[in-house]
Amino acid sequence: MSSKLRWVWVLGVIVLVAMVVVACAPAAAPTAEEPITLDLHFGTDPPTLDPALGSDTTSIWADEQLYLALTDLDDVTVEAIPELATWEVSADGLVYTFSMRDDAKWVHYDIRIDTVEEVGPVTAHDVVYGTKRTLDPRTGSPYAYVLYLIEGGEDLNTADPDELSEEELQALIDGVGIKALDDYTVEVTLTQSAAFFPAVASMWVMRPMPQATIEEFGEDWVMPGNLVSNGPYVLTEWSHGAMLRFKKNPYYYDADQVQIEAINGPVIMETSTAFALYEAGELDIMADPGWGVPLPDMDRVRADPALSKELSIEPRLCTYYYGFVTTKPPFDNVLVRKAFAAAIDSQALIDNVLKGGQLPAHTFACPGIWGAPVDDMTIAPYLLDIAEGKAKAQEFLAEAGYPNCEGFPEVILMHNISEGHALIAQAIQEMWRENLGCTVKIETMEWSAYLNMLLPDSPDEDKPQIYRLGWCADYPDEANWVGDVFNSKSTQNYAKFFNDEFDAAVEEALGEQDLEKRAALYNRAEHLLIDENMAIAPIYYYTRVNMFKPYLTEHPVNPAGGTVHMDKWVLDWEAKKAALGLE
Amino acid sequence: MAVAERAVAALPVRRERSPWGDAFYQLTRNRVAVVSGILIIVLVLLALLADVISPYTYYETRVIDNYMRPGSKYLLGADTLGRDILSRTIYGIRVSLSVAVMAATVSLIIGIIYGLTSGYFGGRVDEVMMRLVDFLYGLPVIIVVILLQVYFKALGRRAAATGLSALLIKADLAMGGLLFIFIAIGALNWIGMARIARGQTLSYKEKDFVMAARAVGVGPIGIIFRHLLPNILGPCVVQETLQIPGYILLEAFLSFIGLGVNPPTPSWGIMIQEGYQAIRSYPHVLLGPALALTLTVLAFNFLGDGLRDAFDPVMRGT
Amino acid sequence: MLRYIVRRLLVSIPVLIALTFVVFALMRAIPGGPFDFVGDKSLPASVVANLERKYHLDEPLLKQYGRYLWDLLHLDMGPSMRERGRMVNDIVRDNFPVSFQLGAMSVALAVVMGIPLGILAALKQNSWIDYLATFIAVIGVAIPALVLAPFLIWIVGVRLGWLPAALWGAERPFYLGFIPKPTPDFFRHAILPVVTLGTGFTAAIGRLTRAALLQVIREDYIRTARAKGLRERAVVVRHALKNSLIPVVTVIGPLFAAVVTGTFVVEQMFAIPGMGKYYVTAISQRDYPVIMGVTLIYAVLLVAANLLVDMTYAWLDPRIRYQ
Repeated sequence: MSSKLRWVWVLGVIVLVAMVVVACAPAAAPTAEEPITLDLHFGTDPPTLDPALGSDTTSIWADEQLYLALTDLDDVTVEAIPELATWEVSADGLVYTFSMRDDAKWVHYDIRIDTVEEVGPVTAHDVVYGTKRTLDPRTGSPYAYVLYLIEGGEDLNTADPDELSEEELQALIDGVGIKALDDYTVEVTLTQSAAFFPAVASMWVMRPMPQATIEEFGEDWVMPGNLVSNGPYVLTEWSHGAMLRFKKNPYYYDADQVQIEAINGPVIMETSTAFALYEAGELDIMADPGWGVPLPDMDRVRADPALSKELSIEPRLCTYYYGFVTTKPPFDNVLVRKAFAAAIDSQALIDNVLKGGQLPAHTFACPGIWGAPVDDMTIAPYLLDIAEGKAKAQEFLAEAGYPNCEGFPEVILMHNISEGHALIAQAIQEMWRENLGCTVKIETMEWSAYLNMLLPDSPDEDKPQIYRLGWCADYPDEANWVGDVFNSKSTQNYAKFFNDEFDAAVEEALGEQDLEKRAALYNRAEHLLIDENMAIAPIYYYTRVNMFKPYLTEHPVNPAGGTVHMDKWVLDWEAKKAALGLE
Repeated sequence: MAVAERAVAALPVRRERSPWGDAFYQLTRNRVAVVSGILIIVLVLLALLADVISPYTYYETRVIDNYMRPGSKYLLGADTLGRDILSRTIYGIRVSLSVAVMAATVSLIIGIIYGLTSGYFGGRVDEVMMRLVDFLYGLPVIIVVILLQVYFKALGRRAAATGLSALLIKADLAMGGLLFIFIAIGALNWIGMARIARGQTLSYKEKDFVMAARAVGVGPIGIIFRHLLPNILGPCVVQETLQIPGYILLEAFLSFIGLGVNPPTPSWGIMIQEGYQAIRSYPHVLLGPALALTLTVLAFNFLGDGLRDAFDPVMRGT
Repeated sequence: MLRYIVRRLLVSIPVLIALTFVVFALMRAIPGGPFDFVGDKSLPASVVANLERKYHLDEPLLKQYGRYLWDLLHLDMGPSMRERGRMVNDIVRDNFPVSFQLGAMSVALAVVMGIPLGILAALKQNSWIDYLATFIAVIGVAIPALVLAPFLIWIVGVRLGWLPAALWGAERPFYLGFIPKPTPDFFRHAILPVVTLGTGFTAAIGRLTRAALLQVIREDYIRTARAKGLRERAVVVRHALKNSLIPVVTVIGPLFAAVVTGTFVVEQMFAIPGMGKYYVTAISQRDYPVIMGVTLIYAVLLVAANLLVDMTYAWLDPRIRYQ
């Protein structure tokens, strides 16, 4: 009997030793004919690759490589530039006519024989199909609302398919203001003029989609093998949660200018592990669709002669702010709000806690957003300089009736559970203590429940006075910022900022065709939001803290999240092979 | 005769000891267990005297000093907000020990009551109660703990909550987020304790002294409280001590996924979670809490083992 | 024996169903749904309504639960609400084998290391060998994976470069759905995570072995064997060991199923595509079918493990037999 156990044990030992021995076998040497390969990583498994359903940066990044759009966003100015089409707009700003190029092709990657085959041309009908599909309520697209600009879009998307007959639904679909005038011309009719519409047209939700494939495979159409795409790269592998691989599309019209031939992307959810792999030489970049440099390593990277050269700080279209629930005392008093906003030393935060070269903020919209009055120093300039800020803060607070914070009631600052936010909150809590003499309590809440609690319709008693939030651009225009977030009817208006002049300004600016007038209107809006009412305290404009191996000689990164043009990147393959050989 | 007497007198005399004394003696022979016990007492003292001996408070930040290495200003270095790691480690003892003790106590109380009842009454009652335990045993504890924590964290400051909920929420906030952790952990770990308590009850139920008590006319309450409970308490407490390292580690895990205590309350779990990313650049951030956690877990392990070695053979012999 | 197994399995079915109900209720009690927000932004009500309609979240709760049970009977665990277009069955099929590989190897390591350490410690109770062996066994659990993993990744993976710092080297497709190809690359990637996870389990097994052996050694029949004049080693190995393994086997079962806490951290740290992350992220994302599916898998594993344990009891100790 006991020998049975003995055997089991001995067997176990043998197996384990064998595993170790096998592991020590020398690694297979790379073969000579390998394509120019880039090793990046994904921060999470993309929830979906269907452009109609995309919402996550990883999905958007993948969509950018796989699907072309009518327009694209310039890497530097973030303005709309032609991709599949050039466009003209009617005098009243309501009708856009897109003239498409005729050499874009749908391709299909055959997994079994590892080849890319041509399927057909990308036509205007595909654009129309794609747009209507996004708006179709049965698709369930989370970003469909950006297309409400298109005539009939909102009606279709808000319809309840269960309550309508087939014909009624079809009528709504047909009623959407986008049609194909011929195989390569798309005409879009808007509900009102919107100067930023070309930027919206670059978004993934409005891209041409392959109708035949989608109808054939249903929800499985995005799997490699079924997938039909038209962008500079094709998807060759998707092991969920583990790995994505891409290969250059030889039928892309600019294929001869695409230098990187293959992209490998393991899914790495832990940012410090990703950086360890980068330092070990197994990853070439720390950037979208993966993580940037982890905060604790910033000092070491800056101090290291080699690593600091690989560091690259790029803008990102997001703002971090603390909002005030303006209906909750004592923050219903604008002076109190201004005091607390002024007492935040953004620069110290950036230098000591964030370390990512971020910029202190004094407007809601960040640089790069069309219409953002970042250079206008009449908007709360004291937010940018703590010396002035501290003095003004104490002034405001005293004027509000709480000199040195005497008699100030207990106040709560809340943020969702996250280490980063916790650090910032605690640092700012200390700043308020030092600069105002006020003690604020910090509470945390789980993300989904947090957002639910902040909704304008949720009961005020459950809310804190101060809440932390950030906003990132869906498209780079103030309409998406002050317009979408703080108008009185918005469900994002957690600060409960109800200002008639503000509402009027953003409403008018939406359709305004004269660009100067438009900018002035948004300037006024920001003045009202920040300088006069301080409904929120902007803290900093985000940056991307990226690293790129030296053998990546060209690596443009777009400020709009996920919109990275890998086809424009250049990798020195000899240098990379040499570097790997040494590692 | 005289020879026999002298022979008897020459035999070493074995000292009289009570079962508890005997157990204690056994325990002291286990040197590591003794060292562990002393360590734990030291920890308790440190926790109680935290305000006095810590060079800094656990919440004061000095953002300029972020990640400062160990030196004269901060003995164990500073963390990412410039808070003293030594002080926070010391205050962290409070969290870890209170989680350990509270969760253990909750688990012990519920488990013993349940197990005693089930074991004593036997028959149908026992069957039903044990089926329930089997069912709960199959619950993936972690998932339920996480669900509970998420639920509690989502309650937030529901002012609309009345009565008990409001009270619990207030208490939890006052304790820096600890109360709900206690409930979540303790409420699920009593199951193992219940089984043990029941097993012990069953083995004592048939003993002579219990029979005797019944014969004399002592009612069930009396039997349970005066005869069964004192006897099973020993092994149960010992068993619970062995669970304590698990509770401490569970709290660290919850902190890692963001469901632990509220900042700035320092728990070793949160400190490790804040520090593990810095292991490549500033390893000192991890040193304090990791070392403290490891030592405490080791100490409870050894002490628990020692207690069990000491008690078991004695108890079985009764 | 067969009748016993079947009976046990039948009994567990109502237990599992009750489990799904409890988890379902708990999940829904938490405020917030899977579609309320996209990142920071709250979705317009119409879009949320669309999505909820698509996934039947607008129906009465009991009806949803009934629908879920019905699908379950057809072995369909429903769609993931977060990973659009993917079914829970797919998620399990893709990710569970990896967790299984990791878990199995870790438990194997723990058994191979823990049992001898425990035996050693018990035989030399209270000597420095006892302390050392127990210390080695316990240190694995005392240093949480949270600390050990980044440490190993940095030192062994990056600085020394002896082993790959992260990722799981298993090539798909797997044999029988879960056995990986035994390539050198696979083992090389597996060493660090298995060590991290396995040392934690070693503690449990080691200490249990020690405790159980200590107890058994004192029993009468051992004394009889000694009295008969058998050598110490024969006494231990032949008589004591077998019976002292019973409590150890008891724990291996749930231990295996409890690979949850350990795997989440280890899988996250080493970028291993297993099920671990779903236990945590699915809850915060309110991906209801995934939460249910993951819970169910865990429970089924536990039932299977417990059954296996009971059968091993019988093999180890002839005194225990089930009709």
